[in-house]
Amino acid sequence: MRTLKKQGFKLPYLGKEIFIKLTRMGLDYEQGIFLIRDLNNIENIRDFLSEILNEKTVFTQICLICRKDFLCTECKHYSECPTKDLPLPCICEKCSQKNNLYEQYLKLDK
Amino acid sequence: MDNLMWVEKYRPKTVAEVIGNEDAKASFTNWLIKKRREKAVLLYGPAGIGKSTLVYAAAHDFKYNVVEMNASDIRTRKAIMKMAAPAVSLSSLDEFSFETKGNLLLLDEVDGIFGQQDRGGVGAIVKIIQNSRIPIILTANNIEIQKLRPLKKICHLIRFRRVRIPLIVAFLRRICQAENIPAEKEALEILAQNSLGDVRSAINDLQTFCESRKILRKDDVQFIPLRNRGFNIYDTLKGMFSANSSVEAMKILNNSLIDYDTLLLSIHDNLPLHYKNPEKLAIAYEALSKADVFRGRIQNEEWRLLKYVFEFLSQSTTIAPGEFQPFNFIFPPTKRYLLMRTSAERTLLKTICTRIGAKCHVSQKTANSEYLPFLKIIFRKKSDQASQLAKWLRLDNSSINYLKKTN
Ligand SMILES: Nc1ncnc2c1ncn2[C@@H]1O[C@H](COP(=O)(O)OP(=O)(O)OP(=O)(O)O)[C@@H](O)[C@H]1O
Ligand SMILES: [Mg+2]
Ligand SMILES: [Zn+2]
Repeated sequence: MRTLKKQGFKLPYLGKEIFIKLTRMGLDYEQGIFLIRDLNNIENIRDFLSEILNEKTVFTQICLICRKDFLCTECKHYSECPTKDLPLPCICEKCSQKNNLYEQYLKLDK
Repeated sequence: MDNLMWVEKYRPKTVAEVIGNEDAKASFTNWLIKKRREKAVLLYGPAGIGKSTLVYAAAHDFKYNVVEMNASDIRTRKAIMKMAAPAVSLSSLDEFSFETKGNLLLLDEVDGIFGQQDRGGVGAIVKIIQNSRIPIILTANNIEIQKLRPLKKICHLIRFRRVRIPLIVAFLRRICQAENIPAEKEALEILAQNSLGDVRSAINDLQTFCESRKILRKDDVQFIPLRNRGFNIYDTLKGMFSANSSVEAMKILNNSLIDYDTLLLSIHDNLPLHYKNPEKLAIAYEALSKADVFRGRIQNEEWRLLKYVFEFLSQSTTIAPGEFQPFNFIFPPTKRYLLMRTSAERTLLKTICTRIGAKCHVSQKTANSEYLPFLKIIFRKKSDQASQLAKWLRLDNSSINYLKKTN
């Protein structure tokens, strides 16, 4: 399994055609790093990458509260989650325990 | 007035309170407050995740006045022009006001407006967008329909997704705190998981289960049917009849998309095709009739009885484990016509749902599936709240009676 960071990631050289396709799908490229420009089709990008890299490809999650990276497979809601492995903000297991989580969420500068 | 439905009572007032979809929210508010490259934005995604709510919350935060048109207002070019044209041009007057930044036009559920027949509506909206000086916001569940193509071309598209489960848990917990109902963490987690990220359903489920409870426990919510996913009727029947034990059949049942009334009738129809042996058939019908008895009692909102319904339904299909021979299932249920509504009733229902839709900013379909069940409970149980609600929704006597009497 290959994990890609939401903040930006590197890929092996895949050829010009695939590069163009990726930028059309919603990725940008700056100084060797791919950045997500458009999230609307991100699952297509993930699936396309899994296919061409021939390896299951997932995005890391960032906890809105503590800002740490984590993986969806660590989450107890994994099988129910409708957006699993996509680079969308979430809450890590540890922060989920907080009783005043909702209040903390409201205070965030998202 | 105290809005009785929790989806209304706890509807976010500000952008910060809308949970989830952080990127989409930021993209939307950026579009709204900065110099807009596109004149209109199209917010799209599944139902019940806060698209319409966000528009009102943003209007509140950034001091816009929302002029809303939805599916029940408009279908034809003429109707759209009549409503939207003044709103769009009035902006120049409002610009000088300190109170508000001016108007914002919300076209809610555009896929619903143009779903079936489009009488020039899409073209009219394209024109309005092109000439508009005010922000125009469209929402839709499904943007893959042909009719919307011209709109997609000129709108800034922002996709909304189902909300992530830990956030829904946090939100449900905060509602329970506000309502003074202690809730077990697992109970809230089950409800949130079951909603599959649909916040509206999660809140509605929570309210259903909290009704008449002082504390919410895990055991209370364990047997709710899963929403939005799972087995269709064929898979459900096949799975249940071929299961090797009632526990196995129960698992299928727990993951079925089919409501248990339909299932009860369908199992009833299909039992004789499954059991050739009359004695086994008799035992199966016996179990089924028990399921039916408990189903009847649930009409008094005793949801804990649901697990008995499930248990007996699962028993009825697994009297003779291992003897399953494939057969052609009978569906839809032969008895359905007895339960079908009369056309007068349907008209009444439509009126009520339109009223709900207008007041709560939801589609008729949503009004029917998500709001109506609560109204019925309130109308049967809490007459003072019911009369307030009736007034608010401007319901006539026949509608009120309908809500009081039907299950
Ligand atoms: N993200 C959210 N945060 C908080 N509450 C929400 C959220 N999404 C939905 N709700 C609750 O559900 C109710 C319905 O939400 P809303 O009408 O905004 O959904 P929608 O996405 O517009 O759905 P539809 O596609 O059916 O119009 C709101 O009144 C609110 O109580
Ligand atoms: Mg809506
Ligand atoms: Zn965290």
